[in-house]
Amino acid sequence: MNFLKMGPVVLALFMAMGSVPSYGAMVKVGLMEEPKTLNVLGAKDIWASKVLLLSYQRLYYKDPSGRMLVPWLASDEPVWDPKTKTITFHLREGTWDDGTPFTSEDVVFTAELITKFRIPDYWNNWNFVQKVEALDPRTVRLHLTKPMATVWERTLTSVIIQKSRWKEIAQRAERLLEDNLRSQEAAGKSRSQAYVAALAKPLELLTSYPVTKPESMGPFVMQQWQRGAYIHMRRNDNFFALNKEIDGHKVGPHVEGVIFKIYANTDTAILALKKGDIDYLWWGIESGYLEDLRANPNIRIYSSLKSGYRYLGFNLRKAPMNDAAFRRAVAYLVDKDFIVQRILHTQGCRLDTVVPPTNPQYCLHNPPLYGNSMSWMERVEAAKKELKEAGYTWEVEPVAGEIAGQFKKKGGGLKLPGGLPVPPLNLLTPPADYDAQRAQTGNLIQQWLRDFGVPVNWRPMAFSALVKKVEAERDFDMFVSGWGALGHDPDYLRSFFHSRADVPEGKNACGYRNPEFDRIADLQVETMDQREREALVFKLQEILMKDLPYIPLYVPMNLEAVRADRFEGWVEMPGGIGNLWSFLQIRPKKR
Amino acid sequence: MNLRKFLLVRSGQIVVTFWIILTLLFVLFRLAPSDPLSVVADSLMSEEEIQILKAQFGLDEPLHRQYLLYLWNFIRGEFGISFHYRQPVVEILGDRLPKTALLFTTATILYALAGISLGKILAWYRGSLLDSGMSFLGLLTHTFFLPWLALLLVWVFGYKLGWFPLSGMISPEIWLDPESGFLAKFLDVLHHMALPMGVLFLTHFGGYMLVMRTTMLETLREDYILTARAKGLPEKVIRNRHAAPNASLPVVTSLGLSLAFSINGGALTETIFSWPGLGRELVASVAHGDYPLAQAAFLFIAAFVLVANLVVDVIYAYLDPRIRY
Repeated sequence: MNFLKMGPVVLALFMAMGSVPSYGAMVKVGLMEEPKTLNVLGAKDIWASKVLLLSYQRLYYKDPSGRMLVPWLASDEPVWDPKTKTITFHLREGTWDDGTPFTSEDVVFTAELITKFRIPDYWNNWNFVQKVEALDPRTVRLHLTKPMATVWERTLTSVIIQKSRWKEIAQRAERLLEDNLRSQEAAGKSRSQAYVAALAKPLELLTSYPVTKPESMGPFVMQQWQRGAYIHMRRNDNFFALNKEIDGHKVGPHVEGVIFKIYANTDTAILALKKGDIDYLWWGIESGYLEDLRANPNIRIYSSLKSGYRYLGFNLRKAPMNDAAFRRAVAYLVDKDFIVQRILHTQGCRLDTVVPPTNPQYCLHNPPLYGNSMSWMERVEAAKKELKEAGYTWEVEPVAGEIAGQFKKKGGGLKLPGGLPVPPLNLLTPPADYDAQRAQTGNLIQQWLRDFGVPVNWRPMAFSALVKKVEAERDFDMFVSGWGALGHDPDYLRSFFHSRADVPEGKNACGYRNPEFDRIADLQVETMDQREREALVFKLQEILMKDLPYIPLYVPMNLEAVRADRFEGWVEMPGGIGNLWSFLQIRPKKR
Repeated sequence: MNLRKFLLVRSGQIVVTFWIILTLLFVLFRLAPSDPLSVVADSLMSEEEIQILKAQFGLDEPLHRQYLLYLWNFIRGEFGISFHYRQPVVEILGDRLPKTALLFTTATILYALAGISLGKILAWYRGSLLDSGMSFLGLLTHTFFLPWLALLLVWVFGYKLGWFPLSGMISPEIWLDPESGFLAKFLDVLHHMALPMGVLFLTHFGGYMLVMRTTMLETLREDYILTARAKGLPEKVIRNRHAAPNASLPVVTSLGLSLAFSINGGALTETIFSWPGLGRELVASVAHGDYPLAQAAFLFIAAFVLVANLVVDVIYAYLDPRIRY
């Protein structure tokens, strides 16, 4: 019983500890997971990228509008010489957080490390760079194997690491690579096969090298990573842009530091925001929380379109999905406005092309709008017309009702042009606990298609299982999925739809093959002139929206919440307020 | 069978059981419909980069070779590197395990001790208001849905009253303060443990209490209790020295296994309270197809439970002199 009597005493002690003192002008940011690693070469999760954004810097960075690249570690615009296929630029004067100067040797070292060890996530952006030359401590020249337009948005926006910090581990990896290469070649493998096989161990060494205090050229420096609890970064007094004006923006940081706190579930994170335990939750919040948060005068909600999108994909290797008429009929039946209103609760916008509107430079301005401004009855008639003209027949022909999504007579027994019945089709989506919007969209599309006479079964499944079915096994008919942060460069169209990518692990899961598309896709990436490239990218979208390997569905809104009573100056960029500019601009609110 | 022979036979059984678990784990993870690369490969990664990743993770090898390598690595005590953390699995487990053990083992001991003590008292005062009230309360809290109760307590005591932290294990405000000494940090951890421990206590003590009450009631009907009473022994001695030790035998077995299982934590509790323990890690590693981490975590738990079973068997023999091996 003594043990039980201790309860009230302990409780009283804890109650006395109820509130802890606040910690100066530290901005406290909530993350939903801990970074998996702070090794920038091995980090592949978004949580690490958020933290590392404040340390590792890039040669060029997007301006707050998200449209223009601003010289960041570089001091001027890059100069492209088409004759020599070189790009030359200069670097700012600056020092790493340990006081050693930042020079062109750091850039050369970074490029050589990435290309030699083919570091996943980076190599794709550097594999066409033949050589990087340090002309002097402040001048760098990139020699390209061929013109590649992705060099602007991807290569020159890659992070730069510190040579002196990584030199030793790179040398160890190099020795390992040479040893492995010798033994692989001795085993009879060709040079290229041997090289790929020999990379595994050195890569493991580089990407799993423990880093708890990443070097910094950025506005903040890692102070402490208390695993599972928080990450503390303090202001970098050596930050090259501290209190300077860059691209017309006066740069801070104006806070003493950043504390990242880890919350494993949204409910608690939202309570922490309301209570004032955190100042910003760096994670999109669901619309269900909006009303409650808006009622709190100390909380401000920011909303912006995400820089990705959701789509309905088809397996073009199978009938009837291999028929463009069938895909167009489905496009007429899918009411995107209805999805945006009913499922997204207007927190998003419909999408009619495969480049999201957050990328206005490359987003096709007038894509074909299947069914847009048509009544439901007109949509159904247009879908029927597409199929009838292609030779499809029904046992029971559907008749649309007047209310959207309703049928006076449900269709049944849809037959392929040859007379064979359309086989049962599966429609894969992630489950509702992963993404309720995608799951509900799948359910809705199933209903529309079934009533139209297409035998579709909606199958929600674990996201990683869906990826395996679609990308590795190609065992699917249709799927609702999405792309996240796509970045500004539109070359992902080549990755997603080029016939070369229709291979195991390739991103062309749909199996789309169009020689004309391939030709233009290859041409656009080698077109260094922006205007010419824009026209080619528009052409690609026109082809895709005619062939419809994907039906683009919608772009969800990114809803973010901050404590308005603590800090001000958050910068809204495409994709949200969680960006470097925000951390350079925010300052404690004057009371 | 003497104890040495018993231990030898049981150890052999444990080795065979462990090998079966080892193999089952390998097969089950490969049969799972998830793709380990789906989480680490992003949308802009080329096919070649994905192939390099596959080779790096050893996923390009045929299954039988992966299995042989897995057994060989296990024998050498090599558990590999987590696909996601890019960190040796042993280090990750070594970091999470003490945190889980701190919360769950402490909670298990507390609710078991409270349950046993209360069960003993309730049986002694059978039919009283205390017995009815506590039995009802024990049943009620035992049937609470843990996430609901946890969120309710967080909302009331963490958010509305502000008595306890909402989640986590430590407060950066205290741990970053250079003036905070050991005591302040120690109390901070206890402060953070209060709510999750409260939830675990409320949802589990009832089970122990009711089992103890039932076994105690049966024991109290035994002849030796009557003999003790006839000898004129004080009631307290009869209850605590004669009845309770015998009645607690089944509860001790249950407690031993609960303690063993407590190291795998509870994914729900750890998620709601953002407790950086093994339970949450286990669920995440399975969901993400992080084979090395998930396999090692399960193997560790299996080994712990198997050994705990053996220990409980031995302890049981000491507690009950009638049992001999």
